[in-house]
Amino acid sequence: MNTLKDMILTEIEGEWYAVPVGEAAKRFSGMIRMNKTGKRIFELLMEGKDQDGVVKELMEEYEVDEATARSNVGDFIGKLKGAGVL
Amino acid sequence: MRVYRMAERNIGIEALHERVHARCAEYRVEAAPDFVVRTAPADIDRERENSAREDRLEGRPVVPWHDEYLEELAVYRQIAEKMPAYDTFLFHGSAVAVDGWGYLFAAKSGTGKSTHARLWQQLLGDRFTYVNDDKPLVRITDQAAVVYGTPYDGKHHLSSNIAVPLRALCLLQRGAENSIRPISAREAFPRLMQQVYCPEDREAFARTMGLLQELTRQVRFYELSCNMDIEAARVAFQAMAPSGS
Repeated sequence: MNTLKDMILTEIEGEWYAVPVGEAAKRFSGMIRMNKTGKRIFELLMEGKDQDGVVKELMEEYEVDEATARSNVGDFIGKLKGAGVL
Repeated sequence: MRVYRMAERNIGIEALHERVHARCAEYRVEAAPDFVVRTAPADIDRERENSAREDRLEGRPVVPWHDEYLEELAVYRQIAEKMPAYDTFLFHGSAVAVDGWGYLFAAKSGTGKSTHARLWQQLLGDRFTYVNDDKPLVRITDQAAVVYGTPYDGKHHLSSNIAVPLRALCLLQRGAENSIRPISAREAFPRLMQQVYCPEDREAFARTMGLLQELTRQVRFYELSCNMDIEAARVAFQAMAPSGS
């Protein structure tokens, strides 16, 4: 189940949070805290990009190699799945 | 329809029962409403379900509330859904005023924020006023966050129809000793989120998040560990009040 579209991103003193709204708030209570890179991955997933698409985008935006990007994105998606958001 | 003024807005209320009007009587005005809330039987049923769900979550017996009471909740929920459009949100906490400054205590239910507010009253006497002991409204302006009394003021009905600039927001936890420390907005934020009303409407929710961001720039945050002695109020007040108070 993908609830990303039912979440709102907000920033407090340089730290980013994804907060569930409406129906998503009934399925998932709490928030996901993330750094700037996590927030960018989250946005790309919200736009509907798949894992490969996000990796490609990160490689371009942050000038990192594929292994690094893939590992970051994999870890982050694991975190979202663990939280029940993906 | 009768109109009530809360947090600088004229709110028209069309209710099925009289009780909500009795609750709000002190806030009545003769004016055109900025917006109108109306309740239907379905709103009351929804409050009943919400209340029962909360009771079950907390492991309490489900309380069979009367429709009149549930309608009062439904009305305030509708008000809370509308208020973010006016830079205002509902916050679950005890708001008090001393020497014209507002202080807001927040904690999980049952921690003792109302008890702590009462200690402030004992300590400060006539300098102290309740703003709202349960569900005040907070409005964000360019200059300050302002906390407002409303008729939804908890089981002991402790509130006044006043507005004061909010100086500090204090997160309470129980402790054997009394101690207080300033905390960053970052540290406070997850606990603020547990006490702020999160609208179901996406637009209103997004606005509420923006208002909370503003709040973190305008208010000081503290974490208070406290017991139930009057000393707890002394420690908290001295740390949060302007120096020399």
